[in-house]
Amino acid sequence: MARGILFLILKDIRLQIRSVDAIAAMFIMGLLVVLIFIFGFGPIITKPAEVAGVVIWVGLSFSAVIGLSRSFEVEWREEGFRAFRLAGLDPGAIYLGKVVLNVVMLLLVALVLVPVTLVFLDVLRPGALVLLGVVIFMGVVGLSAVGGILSAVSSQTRGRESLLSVLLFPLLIPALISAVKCTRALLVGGTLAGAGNWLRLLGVYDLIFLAAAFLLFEYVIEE
Amino acid sequence: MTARLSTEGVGKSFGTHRVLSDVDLEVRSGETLGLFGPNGSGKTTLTYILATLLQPSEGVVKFDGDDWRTRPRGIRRQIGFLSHRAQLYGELTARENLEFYAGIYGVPHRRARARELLELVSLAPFEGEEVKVFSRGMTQRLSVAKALLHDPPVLLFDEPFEGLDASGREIVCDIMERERERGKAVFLVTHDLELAHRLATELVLLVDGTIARRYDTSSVGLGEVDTEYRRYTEGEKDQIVGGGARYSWPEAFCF
Repeated sequence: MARGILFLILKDIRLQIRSVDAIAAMFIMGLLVVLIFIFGFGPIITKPAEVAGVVIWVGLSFSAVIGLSRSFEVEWREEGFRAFRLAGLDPGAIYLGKVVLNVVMLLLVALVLVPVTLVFLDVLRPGALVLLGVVIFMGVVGLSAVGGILSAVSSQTRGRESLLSVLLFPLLIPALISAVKCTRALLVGGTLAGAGNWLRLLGVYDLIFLAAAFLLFEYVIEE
Repeated sequence: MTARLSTEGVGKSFGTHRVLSDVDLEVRSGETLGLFGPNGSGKTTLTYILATLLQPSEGVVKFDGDDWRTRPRGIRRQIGFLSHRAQLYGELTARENLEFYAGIYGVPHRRARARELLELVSLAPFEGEEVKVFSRGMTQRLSVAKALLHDPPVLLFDEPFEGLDASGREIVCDIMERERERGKAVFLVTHDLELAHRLATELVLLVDGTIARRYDTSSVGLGEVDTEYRRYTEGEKDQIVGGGARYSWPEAFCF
């Protein structure tokens, strides 16, 4: 299974580098959301550390919708899923390959969005950056885990991005609230004190949705 | 000899629309079975069922006498499938596409195998070109190479000559003949009766999802097959003009 996942990821990364449009659209969407928040509400924000988390996670969520639907659409268009099934690839491996790809792409987007948000809102806390990285990673895994299986469904349809948004955001509420609470705790106090339960909820959310989608993915791509 | 690939009473419905009924076929090692028939007769649906990518509504598909569902992954890896879609990535080069598929099939010496197949389909000079700049014929030849990558014992070719020029057709014909001589079981779907008659050991005419005729190509000439096929297709047209409702109205008035 590991070999199959590795080849899928390498192929997808190569496709992303060559086609550029998906990753570029993700960066632009994320930056646009973040900058609108910062410049639109900046002058009236009295406690920037309290809202920075919201800005970061709204930007990442919008980027995720674009990246997720593109990464699956190419496989439906060219019958990639059928070819993978004929190659005997485990459907779970196909799913994990796509999740890893989306996690990598969202982390790249986060590498730009997070510093921009922290610098422009002047809430940079160097001591909390490692923990912030952990929270970002866990939140991005949650986004990709749920988004992975839903975009596999929605990318077969004509209005794939709008359908994905309708399906994805209600399911993401627990992960997004947890991620925002953890980010806020880090940016306000520099530690996760008081946000431990939110971090645990985020971890459990990631595990449950990864496991469930791993098992259910076969039914999404089988005809 | 047990058939390498066979179907027993295979039928398929999509909702209330019946596409295939009671299809019995056998493809043995070292033989080519050619399937032909008018548009909408169920050829592609049958090919997807044989490729195990679509479940039949009734009946079974067997590999070496075993229902494929008993060991789906092992059986699927024995199939080389050329579908209507190229199953190739436009942003990857010809060589990268083949190496990727060789990788997920676990083919040893991926680069050498990709190179060998690119030469076989006369695409070696274009191995570093991205597939999105390929013509339809070049893409089709690369798809043929992809289907052969893991040296599968069963080959399913759905319209392999589509988009190919004369030399491309010869290349694919040579490959199919060579693979059959190597003991592969080959299933060919085509509208090109001349090539089907040349390549196939048995020809099967599918009409309205049922097998209408079978021909042993060693004893029945191309002319006879062609004449009968025309009779069937003319009959179809008469039925439509006479008020039959099997086709949607725009298609029925396009003669």
